[in-house]
Amino acid sequence: MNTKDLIQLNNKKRKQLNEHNEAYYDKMLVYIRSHLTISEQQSEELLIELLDHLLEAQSNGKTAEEVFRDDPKAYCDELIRQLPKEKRMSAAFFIGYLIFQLAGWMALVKGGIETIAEFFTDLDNALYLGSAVTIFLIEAVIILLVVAVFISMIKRSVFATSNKVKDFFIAGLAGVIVFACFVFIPKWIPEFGYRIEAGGVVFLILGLLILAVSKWMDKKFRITT
Amino acid sequence: MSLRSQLLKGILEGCILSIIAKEDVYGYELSLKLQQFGLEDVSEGSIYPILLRLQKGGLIEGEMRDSPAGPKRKYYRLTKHGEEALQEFVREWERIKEPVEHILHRGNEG
Repeated sequence: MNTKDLIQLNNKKRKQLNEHNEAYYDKMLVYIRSHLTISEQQSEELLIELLDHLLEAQSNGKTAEEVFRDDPKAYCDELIRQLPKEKRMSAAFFIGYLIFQLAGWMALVKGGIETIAEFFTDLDNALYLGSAVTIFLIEAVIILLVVAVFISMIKRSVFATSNKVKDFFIAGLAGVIVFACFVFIPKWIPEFGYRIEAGGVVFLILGLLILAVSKWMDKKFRITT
Repeated sequence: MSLRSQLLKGILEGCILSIIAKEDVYGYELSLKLQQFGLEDVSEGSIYPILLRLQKGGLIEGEMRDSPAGPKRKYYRLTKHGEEALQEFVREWERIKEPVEHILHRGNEG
């Protein structure tokens, strides 16, 4: 069974848990999944195994605390220590795939906006390849950083009583910073590199092309399955 | 980690290898068997970190297979390496079992 099948099976089976056990199990699930450096296949197999065990125990009238421990964080940490690391190659492929997806969607959005805008105004279609690539790389790094920060926040907050106001504030701040970066970075980077004329339609086609390639990569190298 | 839990873990590891050597089992089945043999104090969940470590060390292998009850379960079986480890555990256990019993039960004369 591949990871996708395991996750689907997990989603289906989890519904059979009673409210109390589901709350306990959900925390373990989110905590284990938020550790991205361990093998995804192995951790999903483990999660199904723990779920099956809990379901059988539940039908015999036991609670999650009786099956696992009163300290789910310590228990999960022990499990995570024993799980094998994700292979470097598949981690590299995954990050490459994310960057491709990002590039594809960004080109599509830019293309879409400009295609519509061109009906109303005259746009300067000049594009400097050097600047464009630099801007994209900086933005990609910022997005990956934001994702990494969010995941580490999840990791820390799963078993802690989280401060909703603080979390909301941090999320809002991150949003503002990212938005500001996307507005200002293109203005700060000087124009350099080969100059081409590229209107909205070019970006639309480019975006679709990149997404098609990343879809093909995904299938060929089984990145997300 | 306390000495008590270290000791327990080592012994539990040997017991799990021995149970898996007799027949392929899945997690819940394994915890039931341990309980049936009288190890009721062992929390059920504590078998999973041990199963993971045994897999990592190549002593056992897991395989998703249909269970008699229907749903797919991960069944464990012993590898060649695991058989050797079990034999060694049994040898060592036989060697220390009696001396330890003697020391613990010698009464007040020692």
